[in-house]
Amino acid sequence: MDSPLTDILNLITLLSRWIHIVCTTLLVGGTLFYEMVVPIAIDDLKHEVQLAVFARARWVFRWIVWLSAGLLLLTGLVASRSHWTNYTGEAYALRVLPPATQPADLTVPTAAQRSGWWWAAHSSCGALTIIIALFLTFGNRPPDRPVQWMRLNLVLLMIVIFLGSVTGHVRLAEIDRAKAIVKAIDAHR
Amino acid sequence: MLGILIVLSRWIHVISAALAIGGVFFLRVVLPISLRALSPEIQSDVIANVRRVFKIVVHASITLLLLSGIFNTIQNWEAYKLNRAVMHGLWGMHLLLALIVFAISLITLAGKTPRPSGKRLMAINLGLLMIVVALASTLKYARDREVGKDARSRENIRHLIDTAVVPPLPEGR
Repeated sequence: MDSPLTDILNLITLLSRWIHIVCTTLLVGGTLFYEMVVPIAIDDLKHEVQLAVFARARWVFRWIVWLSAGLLLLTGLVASRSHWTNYTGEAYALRVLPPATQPADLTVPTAAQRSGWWWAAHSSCGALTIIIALFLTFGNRPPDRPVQWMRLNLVLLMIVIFLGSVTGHVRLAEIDRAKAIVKAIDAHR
Repeated sequence: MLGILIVLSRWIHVISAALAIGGVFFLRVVLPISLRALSPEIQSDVIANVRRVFKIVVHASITLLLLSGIFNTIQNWEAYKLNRAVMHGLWGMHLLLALIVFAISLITLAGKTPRPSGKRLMAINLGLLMIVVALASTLKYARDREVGKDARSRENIRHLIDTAVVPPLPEGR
């Protein structure tokens, strides 16, 4: 049975994961809708009316972008904190066995097999997309070539989600390696 | 190879969900405010055009969600057996609510003109989608916890090595 403090921490971690995903969906889906669906839908309208619709949508979407950006950073910090020992390699004994005792498949993992590097790529690329999103929504007028910027950000967001998926997968693979190490040690006993 | 497929499947699942959820939110919340200044006739024309394009996005998302969801379930089924009561409950609810969401989406977007109850159905769907995401993230959290249970901490492993019949650890390892 976990202590009440552990329960609260688990609940915070759980809520934080949920908020992280919801904010991601709002940013990705909203960007796609703003950049690909709305232009087709208002194609028949006069140019001035189209600009007015875009401006108003940008004004509303800005609040969603800012709120999502803030929450993504906050929940990202919570998630990083809870998996930090995995990312640094401290949580599971990946490198504690001397080579002489290691079976062939339990050698020191390469950089691609360590979740910390994937976490670094996910978080740095994620920070870049947030900076671009804020750059696009700050001020009363959008920057030059807003559509191209949004397309770039949409592609980057897809890459960020991919890096997040890889981070999770590699983290679980590390657990499997740790289990194999435990099994190998137990076999020596 | 399987590792790449697992990552790709998760990625497709998350991207499809993101496009569907973000799209529903934009359609239900952002777009009506953006079109407020236009006349009702133009508003309904724009919404009809949006529906036409969004329908393609939703149909593609549902197909990809089903395919990647089946693959993810097959891959994780053994892990779900580690704590059947919790994980099968969460997985079952996630699947059931997702199917309800798909049905509501298909009903809402069917036909050339929007249904009178379309707005309400869309709002219900948005709420259900939030619950579906919450169930999915809880399921993954529970699975990670169960899978990680057997992987002992560095200290425990050091203790095991110290007491095992293996050569002593070199410094820094």
